[in-house]
Amino acid sequence: MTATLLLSSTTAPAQARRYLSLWLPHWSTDRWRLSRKASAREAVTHAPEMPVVAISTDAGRRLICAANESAMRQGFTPGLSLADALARRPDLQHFPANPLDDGHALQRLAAWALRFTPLVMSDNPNGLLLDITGCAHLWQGEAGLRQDMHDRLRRHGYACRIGIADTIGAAWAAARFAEMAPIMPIAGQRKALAALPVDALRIDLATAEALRRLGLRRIGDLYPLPRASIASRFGRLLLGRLDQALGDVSEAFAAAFAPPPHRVSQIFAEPIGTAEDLHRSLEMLAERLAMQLTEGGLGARRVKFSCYRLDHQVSEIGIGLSLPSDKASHLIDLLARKIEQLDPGPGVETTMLSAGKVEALRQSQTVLEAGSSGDHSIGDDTALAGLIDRLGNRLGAGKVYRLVPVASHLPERAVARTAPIRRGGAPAWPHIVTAASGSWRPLRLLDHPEAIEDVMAPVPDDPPLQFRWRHVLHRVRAAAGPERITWEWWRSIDEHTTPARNSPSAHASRDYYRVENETGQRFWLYRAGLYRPEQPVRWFLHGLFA
Amino acid sequence: MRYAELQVTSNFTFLEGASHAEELAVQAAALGHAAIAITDRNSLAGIVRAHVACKDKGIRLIVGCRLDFMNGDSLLCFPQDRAAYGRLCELLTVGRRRAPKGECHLHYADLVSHAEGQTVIGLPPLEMTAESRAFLQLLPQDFPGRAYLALTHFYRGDDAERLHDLNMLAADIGLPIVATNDVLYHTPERRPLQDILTCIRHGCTIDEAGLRLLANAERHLKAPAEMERLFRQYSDAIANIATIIDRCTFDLATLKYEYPDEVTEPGETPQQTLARLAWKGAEWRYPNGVTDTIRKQIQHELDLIEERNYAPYFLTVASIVKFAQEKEILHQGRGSAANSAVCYCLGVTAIDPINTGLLFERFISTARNEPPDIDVDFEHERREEVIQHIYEKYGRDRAGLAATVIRYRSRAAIRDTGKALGLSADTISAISKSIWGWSSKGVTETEIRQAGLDPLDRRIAVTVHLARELIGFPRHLSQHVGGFVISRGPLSQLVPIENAAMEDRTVVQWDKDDLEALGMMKVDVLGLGMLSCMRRAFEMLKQHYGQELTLASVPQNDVEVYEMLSQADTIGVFQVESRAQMSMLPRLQPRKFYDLVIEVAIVRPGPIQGDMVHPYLRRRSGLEPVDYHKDELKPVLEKTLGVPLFQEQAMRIAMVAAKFTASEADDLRRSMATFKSNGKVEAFEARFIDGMVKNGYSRDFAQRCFNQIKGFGNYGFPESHAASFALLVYISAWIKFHYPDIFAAALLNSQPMGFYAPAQIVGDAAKHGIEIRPVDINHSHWDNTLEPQGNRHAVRLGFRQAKGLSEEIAKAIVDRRDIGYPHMAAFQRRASLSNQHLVKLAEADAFRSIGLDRRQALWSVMALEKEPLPLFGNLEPVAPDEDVSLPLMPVSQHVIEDYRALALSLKQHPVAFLRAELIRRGIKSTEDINHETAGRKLVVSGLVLVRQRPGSSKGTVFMTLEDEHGIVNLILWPHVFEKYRGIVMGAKMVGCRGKLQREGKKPREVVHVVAEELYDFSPLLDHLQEKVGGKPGNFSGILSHSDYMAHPGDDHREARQRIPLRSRDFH
Repeated sequence: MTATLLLSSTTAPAQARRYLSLWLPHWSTDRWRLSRKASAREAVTHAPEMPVVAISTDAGRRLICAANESAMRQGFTPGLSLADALARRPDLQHFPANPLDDGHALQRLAAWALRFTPLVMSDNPNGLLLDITGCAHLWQGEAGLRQDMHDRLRRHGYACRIGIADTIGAAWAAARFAEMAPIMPIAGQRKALAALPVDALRIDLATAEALRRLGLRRIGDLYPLPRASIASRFGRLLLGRLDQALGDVSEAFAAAFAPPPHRVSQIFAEPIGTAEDLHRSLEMLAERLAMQLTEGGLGARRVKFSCYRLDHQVSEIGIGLSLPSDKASHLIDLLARKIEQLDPGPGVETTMLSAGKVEALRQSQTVLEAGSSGDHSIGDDTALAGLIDRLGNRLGAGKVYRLVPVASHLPERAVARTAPIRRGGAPAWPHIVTAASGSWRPLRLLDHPEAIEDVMAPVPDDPPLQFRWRHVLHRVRAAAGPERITWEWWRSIDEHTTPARNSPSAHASRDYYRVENETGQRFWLYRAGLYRPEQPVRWFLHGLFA
Repeated sequence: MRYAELQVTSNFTFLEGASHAEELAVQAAALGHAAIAITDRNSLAGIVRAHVACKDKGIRLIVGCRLDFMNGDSLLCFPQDRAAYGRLCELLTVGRRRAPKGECHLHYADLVSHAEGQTVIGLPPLEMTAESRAFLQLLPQDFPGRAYLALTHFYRGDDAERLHDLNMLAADIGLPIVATNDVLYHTPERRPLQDILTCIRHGCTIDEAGLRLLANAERHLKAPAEMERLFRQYSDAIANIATIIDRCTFDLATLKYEYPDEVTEPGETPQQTLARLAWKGAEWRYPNGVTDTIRKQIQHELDLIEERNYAPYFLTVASIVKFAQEKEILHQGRGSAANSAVCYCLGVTAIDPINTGLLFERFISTARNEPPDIDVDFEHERREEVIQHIYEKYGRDRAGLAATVIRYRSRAAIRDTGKALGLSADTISAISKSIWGWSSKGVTETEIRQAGLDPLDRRIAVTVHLARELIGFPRHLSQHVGGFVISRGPLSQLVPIENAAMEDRTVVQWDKDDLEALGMMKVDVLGLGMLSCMRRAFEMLKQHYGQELTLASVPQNDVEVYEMLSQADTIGVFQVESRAQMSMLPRLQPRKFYDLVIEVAIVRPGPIQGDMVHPYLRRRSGLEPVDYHKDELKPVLEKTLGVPLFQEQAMRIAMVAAKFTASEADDLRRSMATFKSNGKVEAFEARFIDGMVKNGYSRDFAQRCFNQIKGFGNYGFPESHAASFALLVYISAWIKFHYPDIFAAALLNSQPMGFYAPAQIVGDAAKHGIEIRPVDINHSHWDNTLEPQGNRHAVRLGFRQAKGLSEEIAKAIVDRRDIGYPHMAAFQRRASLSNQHLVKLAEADAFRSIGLDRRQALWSVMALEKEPLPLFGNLEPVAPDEDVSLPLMPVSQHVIEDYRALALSLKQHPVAFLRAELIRRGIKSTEDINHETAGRKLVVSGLVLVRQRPGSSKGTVFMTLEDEHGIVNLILWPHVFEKYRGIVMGAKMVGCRGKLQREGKKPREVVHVVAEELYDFSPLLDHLQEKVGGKPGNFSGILSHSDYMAHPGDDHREARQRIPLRSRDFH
C-alpha cells in the first residue's frame, strides 16, 4: 500500500480537491476469465456468467480467496475451503490465485488510467485512486468522467465500482458502500457518509465489529460522540480515519509508478544495416545498460537486442544467462555470436537493448590478495558461469545440466538433471550410489535396459552363469547378488493404466547381479520379476562397471 | 528341521510393524513354523495379544522382545523361565520409567544386571564397526552358552559377503549363529502399508520418503524350506533355532497373580477379615435385623469367595471404598458387583441384591474360571484423590493403571494415510468429514463421491484401501480411565510399567483385555459426573432446606416421582433424558424400582437389534400373553416377561437353550467384544441357532436372540449394572421433582454433562416454576447459587456460565464485593480486573444492578483501562464518563448477545422473534401441534438441539427442534436423510414438513413428526441481528448443537461405543 497515513491534524486543505476511487471487486477472477478468453479466442459472450473462484493455499488447506459475482451469489465467498465448495458444486471453476500478477496488472491499469489524470496511484489489492481535480470538464463533468471510465472497463470485461468525493477516504467509501449516490457533492461528504456503515471508514474488521456491538453502526452515529471518548476506546486510528474521510485532516496522495524498465536505446539519423554498425551500436548500448544495472545493484538474466526497421518490423536476438550479470563484455560476447541472425531489412532506425529479467546481483569482491588460496571460488564460479552460458547459448537450452542425486532405490530414478549452477552447492551423494555400502552401482547406467538372451541361471535367484548381449556370449566367472529392488508402487497408481492386481508390473521387482566375465569385463544385470515356475524369465543388462 | 522365526516386529512396535499379532500367528502356523517369537522394540505391550493369538492358532509363542540400547546396539532377549521374565519386565520398567512417555532409555549395563536366565541374540548392524564388534564380543561372557548372533538375508546384493564375514566373526568371538528374517509383516502384500507407516513415522510423503523406505518386500514370514535354502551354507544357523525353541519355554499362562493381603487384624487370614467386615456391614445395612435369608446369602457368598480365594481382592476394593467414605466422596459400585450381598454390606454397592433378586452366581461362578470385576464410580471431580490414595497406599511398584491401546480409527487412518500419499489437507478433510462417527469399516466409494471427490482418482482410492488396512493398528498406549492393577509383590515383575502422559501416573503395558486374558484382577476407579451433581444437590439440600440425605436414604417408592418419569419430564435426569429414553418412558410407565432397571436396559442396541422392545411392551400392557417358549427358559426370563433384555439373559439362553457350556457362552460374549472377530461370530451364530432349533425353539426366536447377543457384544447392560444406574435415575428424578431449584443449580454446576445444554436446563427449570436470575456482579458467585424466594429458591446464574471468566476472577469479584458495588468505577477499582475480563462481564450483561445494560457497560469498560487515573486512586469518582447516549440495543440483539456470551438467554427464545414470520409461512409452533390430530401434515420449525443416528436405527436419524414453547422430535427415514443430508448436518434452524404421529394418551403420549421435506431456516436467524449495509451478522454461527454427548464421567469405553454420532462429525 503506497498510501501513507498522515495522522497529524495539522493544516486544513489549501484548496478543494476531488478524488476518484475505483474498486474492482472481482479483479482476480475477471483477469482469469479474460486471459482464458484471449487464449481461446472466444468471442465475448453475454451468456450468464459461470461461478469462478481463485484459490490460495494456506497450510495445506486450499481456500477461496476471490470469487466472481456469480460465485459470490451462490455463497462461494472468500474463506470457504475449496473442498467444501466442490462438495456443493463439483463443476465449480477454480484456479490458483496469483497476487503478484494481479499487482502487476494493477500497475498496468494505473498506467492506462493516466488518460483521465496524471495523478494515479494503485490502491492494493484491487483498486485505483485518481486525483481528478480540474480534469472532469473534459468529460462534461464528473458524471461523464465516471461513466466513461465505467464503460471502458466494462467493455474490457472488468466489474467496477467508482466513487468520487472531496477526500480519498470518502471516495473510497463511496465506491464501495454508496451504490445509490457514488458522487458525493463538493463539501458534502459529512452528510453523505453519515448513512454509510462504519466499515466504510477503512478500519479493520475487529474495530468495525466492536463499534457495531456498541450500536454504532453508521458513520453518522460517531458524529455526536465526544472525540475524547472515541479516542480513549478505539485509539486515535479510528478518529484519524474519520477525520481523513471528512477532510478535517489531509491525506497524502502518492502517485507512484514502477521504476523504469532497464532499457536503453539509440536512434540513428540515417538508417544503418551492416553487421559492423549493429555491433558498434550493441557495444555502446551494452555499456550503458551495464552501468544502469550496476547502479541498481542488479544483474540481467535475460537480455534482448531489438532493431526497429524502416518498415515497422522488429528484428530481435536474445540470450539467457545462468547467473545475473552486469558485465558489458559478457553481454556483448554472448549477443555478438548471434548478431548475424539479425535481419536489418531496408534499414534500422532505432536499436534497443533491454533486460527482460533482472535479479539482485550477489556482491562480488574482486580478489583481494592474488594468489591467496581458498578465496578464488567466486571468481571460478563466475568463470564457469561464463563457460556454461557460452555452451548453453550454442548447444541450446537444457543441453548443459548437472546431475543431482534423488532419494530412490530405483537406479534410473536415483539421478536427476538440474540447472548447471545452483546456489548453495550441490547436495551430497548418498551412500547407496557410492561403493561404500553393500549396494554397488555401475559407473555407467544405460538409459534403457537392454534385453539379454541365452541366460542360464539356477532358479530361483542364483546369479546367471552365462548371457548373450549384443550377439556376444559372455561366460560369467564371478558374480554377486541378488540385490532385490521392488517397483515404487505408489508411482504406478498415478499412471492412467490400471495394472491388474497381480500383474508383474503392479508389484514387479528386479533382482540385480554384478557379474564379471572371463575377460574381466563387469556388468550389471537384472532379472525382471521374481522367479515363477513355468513363466518366461526376462533378463536385462542395465549398466557397465569400469 | 524345526524352524521358528525369532525376530518379528508386530504392529505394537508402533508405526513400524505392519501386521497384527493374530495375522503373524496365523501365517506362521500355516507355513509350518514350530513356534514364533514376537519381539517388539523395548516393549511387551503386544505380547498378550500374541499369546492369545498363538494359543488360538495352535502355535507356540516364544516370549521376548528386542532391546535397543541408547548407544545403538540391539539384541533380542528371551527369558527362559518365570524368574527371568520377571527380570525382563523389571528391566523394561527401569528403561521406561527413566524416559519420557513412549520412550525407553536402556543401556547394556542395565541388561547385564538382569541377565540371569535370558537367552540373547545379538543383532549386527548392516555396516560393522569396531564399536558394534566390541558389543558383540561382550555377549559370550555375559551370557555364557546363552548368546547367539543373528544372520539375516536382506537381498541387498552383498548378502553372500556379509553373511560370510559375520560367520567368521561369530566363530572368532565364540557366538553360535542363528538365522532370522527380521520380519515386519506377515505377507509381502503388506509392504505398501509398511511404507506408509514409515512415512507417518518420519512425517514425510511417500514421494519424499526416498531411501527411508525399504528397497524390497522381503521382510515377511518365510517358509522353513525357503529359510533353509537361503542359509544352505550356514546350516548351523537353522539348527540352532531348535535349541532356542527348546530352551525358551516360558509361557505367559504360568503367570500367577497375587493380591495384596489387606489384613487389618494381626493373626487373621484375609478370609477371616472379610467375613468379619461383611457381618459388621450386614448389621449396618439391615438395621431391622439380619434375617435368615440374608444370613444364608452372605454365608453362601463368603463360602464361594473362600473357595476361589478372592478375599484379598474384595478387601482391596473395600479399603478403597472406605477411604472414599472417610473423605466423603460420593461413590457407587456398578456392574456385576451389584449382584453381591457382600459388596452391599462392605459399602461397595448401593443396591440390596437380596431385595432386588440379583443372583450372586452372575458375579462369581464356579463354572467360569474368571476373576470378578468390581467397578466403582466416584464423583468425577474427586476421583483423582482416590487414585492418588491408591498410589500412596500400595506404592508405584505395586499399583499401576491399566493401559488403553489407542488404535487407528477411520478418521485418523484416512488423515495419516492421505498425508503420506501427499493428498492435500482439504481433500483429506473432505474424505474424513463425510464419515459418520467412529466407523471401523473405512470409507466407501459413495462416501467419497458425496464428499465431492473423484473415487476414481487412484491416490484417493489407494488412500482409502490402505487406510482400511491401517484401521485397528495400535497407535500408542494411553492410560485407562481408572482400571487399577494392584499386586502383592512388585508389579514390575509381572508386567513392564511406564510413565503416563499425565504427571504422577504410571501405566502397565497391558490393557484390560490383556489383563483379563491372563486372569489378573483390576479395580475400576471410575468417575461419574452425576455423582458430583448429586453431591452438590445433597449439599444444597442441607444448606437451604436443612435436610440431610445420602444415596441410600433418599425415600424410595415415591409415586409422584414415578408419575413424573412416566410423563417423560426428564430433562437432566440421569440416563433417561435422551430422546429414545423419553419416548420409551410413557410407554413403559415405570411404577417401581425394577421398572427403572428395565427402562435403563431396554433402550440399548442389544434389545433394539434383537427386536425385543415391542414384545416386552405388548406383554407388559397385557396385549400379548407371556410365553417362555419352553419351560426351561422360565427361570431365565421370568422377570422380564419372557423377553430377554439383559446381557446375562442372552448368555443364559445360549447355555440353556442352545446348549453352550458356560465357558463357550463366555467365549461367545468375548468374541463379540474383541476387535477382530476373525469370522468367529459367524461360526457361533450357526451353532447357536441350530442348537436352539434342535432344542425345539422357533428359528425366528433363535435368530432374534442371536441378533440381540450381537448387539450386546458391545452395548449391552447386565442386569446388575442397570440396577446401579437405575438407582441414580430414581435419585436424580426425586431431586428434580421435589427440589427443581436445587436440581437445576446442581446440574448447571456439574456441566458439561448429560444430553442437554445449559439453555435447555434453564428453560426446563423455568417451566417448573423456578425463577432464574441473571449473572450479575453484585449477586453472582462462580457456581450457580440459590437465592431465597418465598418458600422456594430462585437460581442465580453464576459466573461459570459466562464465557471467558475463570473461577479466580469470580473469586476476586465476590471477595471484594463487601456490601456491593455501587457503580462501575467502584467495581473497577475494587475488583481490579483486567480490561479483557471487564469486557467479558459486560458481554455477559452482568452490570444491570448498577444500571448499565450490556451496551452501556461495554462502552464504559472500554475506556477504563486505557486511561487509568492514578491520581484519583483513592477516590470514587461518582460520574463515570461523559454523558453519552448510545443507540438502544433491541431485545433480539440482546438475546443474540446472551447466547454469544452465556450460551443461553433469560430474556426470550430466539425463535420468538421470528414467530410472526413463521406464522406468515404457515408454520406451527410446538405449542400448536398439541392441538393437532395425528396423521396431519404440517410444518414445524425450531433450533436444532440434538441430532442422533443411533447405531441400532439402521440409518434413521432423529432430530430434536426447539422453539419458544418447547421441543418437537423429528424422525427422518434414511432416504429422507440422504436427500437432506446437507441440511441435517449443517443447519442451525430447520423447518420440517411432515406427518404428525401420536402414541399413547395424554399426558403420557409420545409425539413426533415424520419428516418428508426439510428446509434450512438458518438464514432467518441472521436477520435477528441489527443490520447495516445489507449485511446481517452471523448469528447462526453462535448456536452450537448438543449432539448425542457422552456423560463424561461415564465409563469411557461404553461412552465411546454408545455415541453413534458426535457433534464434530457435523462441522
